[in-house]
Amino acid sequence: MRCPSLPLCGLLWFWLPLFYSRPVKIDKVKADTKNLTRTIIARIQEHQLFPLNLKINGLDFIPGERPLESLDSMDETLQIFQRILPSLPMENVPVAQIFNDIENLRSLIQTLGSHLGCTFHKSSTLDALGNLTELLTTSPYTAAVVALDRLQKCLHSIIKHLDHIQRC
Amino acid sequence: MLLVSVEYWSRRESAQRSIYRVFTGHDKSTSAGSIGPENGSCSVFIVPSSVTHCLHYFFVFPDFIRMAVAHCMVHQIPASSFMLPCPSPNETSVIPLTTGVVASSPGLHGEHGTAETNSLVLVAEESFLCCLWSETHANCSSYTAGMETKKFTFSEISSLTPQQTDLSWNILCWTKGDLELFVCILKLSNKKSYLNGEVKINLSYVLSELSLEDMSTDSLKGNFMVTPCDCNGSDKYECHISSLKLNYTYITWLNIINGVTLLQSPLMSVRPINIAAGAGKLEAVVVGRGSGKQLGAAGTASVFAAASRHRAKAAAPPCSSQLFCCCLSTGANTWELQRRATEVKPEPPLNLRLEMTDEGQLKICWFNPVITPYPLQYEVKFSGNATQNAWQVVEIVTETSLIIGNVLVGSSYLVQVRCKSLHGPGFWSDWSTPYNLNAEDVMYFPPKILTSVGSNVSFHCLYNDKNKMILSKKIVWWLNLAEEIPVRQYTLVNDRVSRVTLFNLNATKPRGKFFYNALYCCNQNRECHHRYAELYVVVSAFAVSQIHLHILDCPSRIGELTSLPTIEQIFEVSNAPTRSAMIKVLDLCVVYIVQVRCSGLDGLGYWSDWSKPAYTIVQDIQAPLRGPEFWRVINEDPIRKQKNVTLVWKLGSWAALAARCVSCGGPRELDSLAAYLVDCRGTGDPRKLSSLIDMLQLSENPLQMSSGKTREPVNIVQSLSAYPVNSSCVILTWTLSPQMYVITSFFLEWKNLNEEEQMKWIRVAPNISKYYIYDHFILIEKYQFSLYPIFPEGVGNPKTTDGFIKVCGPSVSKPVLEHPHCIVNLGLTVSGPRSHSHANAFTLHYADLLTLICSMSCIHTAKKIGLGLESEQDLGSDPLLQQRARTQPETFEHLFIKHPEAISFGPLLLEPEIVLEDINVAKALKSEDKQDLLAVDSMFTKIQDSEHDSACSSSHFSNCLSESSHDDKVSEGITRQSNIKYATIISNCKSSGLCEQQKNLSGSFNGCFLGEDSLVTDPFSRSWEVGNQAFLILPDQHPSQASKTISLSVVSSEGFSEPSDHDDIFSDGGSPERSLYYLGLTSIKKNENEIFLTENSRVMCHLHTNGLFKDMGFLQGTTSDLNPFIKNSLKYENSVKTFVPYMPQFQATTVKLQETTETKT
Repeated sequence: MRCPSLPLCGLLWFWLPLFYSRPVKIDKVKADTKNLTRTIIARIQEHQLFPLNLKINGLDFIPGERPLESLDSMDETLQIFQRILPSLPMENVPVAQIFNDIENLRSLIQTLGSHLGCTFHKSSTLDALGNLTELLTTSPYTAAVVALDRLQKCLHSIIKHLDHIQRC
Repeated sequence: MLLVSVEYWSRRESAQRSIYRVFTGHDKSTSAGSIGPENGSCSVFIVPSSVTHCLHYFFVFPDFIRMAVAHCMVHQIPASSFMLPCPSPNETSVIPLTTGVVASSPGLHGEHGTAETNSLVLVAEESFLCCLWSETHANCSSYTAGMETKKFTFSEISSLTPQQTDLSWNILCWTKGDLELFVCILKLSNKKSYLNGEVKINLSYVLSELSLEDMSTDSLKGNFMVTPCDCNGSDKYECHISSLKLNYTYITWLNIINGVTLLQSPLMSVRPINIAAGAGKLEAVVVGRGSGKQLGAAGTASVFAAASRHRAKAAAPPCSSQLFCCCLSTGANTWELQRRATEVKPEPPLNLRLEMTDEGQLKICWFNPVITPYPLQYEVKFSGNATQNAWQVVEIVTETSLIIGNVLVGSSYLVQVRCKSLHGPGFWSDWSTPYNLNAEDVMYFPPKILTSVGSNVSFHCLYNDKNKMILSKKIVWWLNLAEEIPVRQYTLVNDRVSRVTLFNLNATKPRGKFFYNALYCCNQNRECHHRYAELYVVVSAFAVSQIHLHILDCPSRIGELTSLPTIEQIFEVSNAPTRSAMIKVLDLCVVYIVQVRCSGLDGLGYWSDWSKPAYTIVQDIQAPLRGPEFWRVINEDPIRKQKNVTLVWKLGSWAALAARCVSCGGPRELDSLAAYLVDCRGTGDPRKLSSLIDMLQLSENPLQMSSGKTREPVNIVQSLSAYPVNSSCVILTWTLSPQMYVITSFFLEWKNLNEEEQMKWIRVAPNISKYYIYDHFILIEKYQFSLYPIFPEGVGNPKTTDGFIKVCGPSVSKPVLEHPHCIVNLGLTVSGPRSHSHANAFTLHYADLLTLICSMSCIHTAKKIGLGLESEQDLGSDPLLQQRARTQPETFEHLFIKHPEAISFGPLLLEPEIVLEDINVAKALKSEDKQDLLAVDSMFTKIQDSEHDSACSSSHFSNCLSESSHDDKVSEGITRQSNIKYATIISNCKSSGLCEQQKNLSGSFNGCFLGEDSLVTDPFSRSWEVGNQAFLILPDQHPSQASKTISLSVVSSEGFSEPSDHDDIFSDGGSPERSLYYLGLTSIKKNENEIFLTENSRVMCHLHTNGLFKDMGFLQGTTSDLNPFIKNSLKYENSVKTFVPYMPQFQATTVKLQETTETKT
């Protein structure tokens, strides 16, 4: 006697592994975020030969003065740097590479935020930046040095914050 | 206001007119204070010839333009508006129109061709009236022809003018802001109703560099330009004069054509610089007044010279800023001249900025408006910002900066500046763009510094942190935000200003896009403002190593003192990779100074300092005048039945040679031929070569030569004899057949037959019959001498003699070839570098060459190939070759090298077997005689020719011998006629420092000098280096000793080398040349003559003279071939004993020597 339903059932059993999945662990994302952040810091330090230990007035539009304490502010700060970086008159620093790294870092942070159930607000300060080019060309050397310095500080702050992050 | 009544315009057909130049006759009592006789302006009018009678002076010019000078009114234009009316006096009357004639003048033609200018006729009468009319006063004077003046009152004038105007024009003229366009706007403000039709206006002008006083009215004739005025709306016209020369005086006038009526305004003078935009405007009103019945139209002009008083003082001679108009009033018409002075309103100052003095004081600086030909004063305004308009501080300065201290810095004040002419009236300009003193928190002075490595720089800093000034002692300087500058380099200028000095700077290393060091002025608490000062340290001291100026030719001004140009021109070379620039210069013969500076490509940086100047060198790069002297050697190869033609030329200082031959090769195709250029230094230039080939190919066309079939050989040289003098001197004499030939030159060849020695050759002038060959001869060897006569048609048959002391060598006549029927251009291969021993020769191999005509050209060594222009020495008789004269400048790299010396000429070279035909051989002896007489002279002139291009053209020969030879000739001519002898006495011929002795010649020169005592001195002998003609030497001038001291000289080598006792005799004269001596008719006895040839005479060339004179004796026997000199001398010796024959001494002495030697033997 033939049993036509058996192959069908067998076929269905083969389908079973296809539906198997498990969530990405949050620690893994954190580790990736940290690694990428350190990578960016390394890239900056490779070209930023000296630490800036002066306080520069008049460039308040470049973030990094204050420590970052939330994923939302991290994303917003990184977004601002993404605006600033292309305007910096630097050839020796791989600005495009850092720009892409920041893009990846932002997606990691957003993944992390989604794990924690955070919502990212659209930055208000980003709109207030206005025409960055004009601001940066007033004193381009200072802007370049300060931007990279503050980006570095921000990244350090991100690493520091990621260790303790539990909530948004 | 300048009102001049002008009398005038009627149209009549007449080519005659007069130009009156009117001078002023004012004195101070008759005019306002501003009028003075010292103000010499004048005015020019064109008036018909029919009224010239009323003027005092006139001049007639051939082109019917008469000029007359009458009175010139000078009116200095007052500061305010003024009017100079010239109404006609009551007593004047309208001149009947039949007397006023005008027509288009043949002498006046506009260069633009846009308008055939018909000039107005100005009907003048004896009196005219002019007024100076200003706002405050009016002075009018009526002038008669006798310069009597009459004053008028204001009311008289004002009542006169308005009603009598027919046309009224408002004219406004100015120079546009770019100072390249002169604009006049004419607006018709009043027009009488009976004037209908279109109005056409032309603006005529004459450009003059002179002021009007110096200008002659000649310049108005025929030289003026006419520019039509475009109609711009109804009754509004706009005239333009482009390409202005600002500082020139423009004499302008207007031609107004209304229908058939032509009106002409008075002449107006303007200097565009005085009416430049911002400087003022010239406004003119032309008003016509007249009866109108006959004229149809009339006009009056008032011209507003806009130049205000200060400008007249500052920039203008009295004439330049004034309006010139004269009145010749008849009452028919009046030109009213008014001036509505438009006040001067300059443009506002530009580019306000802050600078810092050395004392740390801030000052605000600005630039003048674009061009201000007059001094300005400035007003500086400090005001609060928009909300704080409460108070202002205004200061007036005459400098372009104002020290403001440091008080206002940091406060939000705005600074504005405006300007106004310093003298006279005029309006303030608009305020400049405001400058915010608070624009920056930190101010660096200077904000940027460009300096070179190793220098020291200083920066000042003024730090205002959040409206709080940082004290200078708290200021810390940082470099690049990374390195703190040590405190010891700081200087506290004052409380607020800190100065840092950086020593011994190193070059800035570029970091990314930053090519500067950023210098920060920070607070002590390590707070810095983001602004910084920029410091560029560059490796400077770039220099212009070489300037390439492409000077093509500078023919005539070499050696002149060239002045440096005063006009500085700046050429900008924007292309960065180029390291050279080409500058077009107008004058090639001027030394130019070239300097170079640089700046960044983006245009942001500063210009560097100018480099060290490089001077161009004016260099004569003219081509050599003639090609090298060359000759040919023909060898026949009987095996191959081929004839090898070798061209040989003298080594010279040329760098390259081009050879070219024209030949007829008969049936053979000459396809493999090419033209080549010889680079004597062994470096060929292929481009040059190909261009030469191209040139030859282009010029390849058949040459029709004579198709005659005559085969008769031409043996013009009948005899050729070689007489050895010593081992370095051989005398060649020859005689020509008694036929008339045109001989261009001779070529002498000689060769040692016993040695494999190269044939030697020299070119000899055509009209001599003997030649001294200076070479190293071994007298026991056998030599062959050949003499080639060169005719314009080719080379004649040579005469050849083998060995010495032969009267006639066997004539080697070569077969005569047919004339060719076709000519093909041949290129000759010339090869071998200069170092090669055969560099000065090349050979052609052709089997069937019939006739070969070659020419050579050369290039100086001082230039590379193609550097200069080639010269070409063509065959003189060949039009085809001459046609191909070419110039090929290609490279100019060594332009600035002075080429050493010029090149010698090159003669023609012809195929030896050319047939000469149709030569009439006529009376021979006389012509030959003459030829001989002229021999030396011509030879010397040839030598001069050859040295033509040389700097040392004045050698001994030109100094001494040419003169003497000339006298020789003269004296010979006299000898034959009246037997009166003249000779030039040559004593010490001092060589000029420029000229070298011809050492090689003098070294090989040998000669005998015969005399009672050896009278030969060294300097004298040098003058004999080439001479082979006799000289009569009179060492002493005592008449009693004349006969004894007369000596005929023969070349003597030993005589030259030994200093003579009679040196002082020749040197005491001081002058190298003495005037003609009359030798007198005193008889010279035979025994006196024999003194010349006594045993005591120091004749050291005794050995050879023996044979020589025997030979001459032989000649004496063969009377038909005798040298005419000898014949003459013999005749004189035998028949006319009382005269000393003055002739080439060689012949004379030989006769004597013959006698002595005969007696000896």
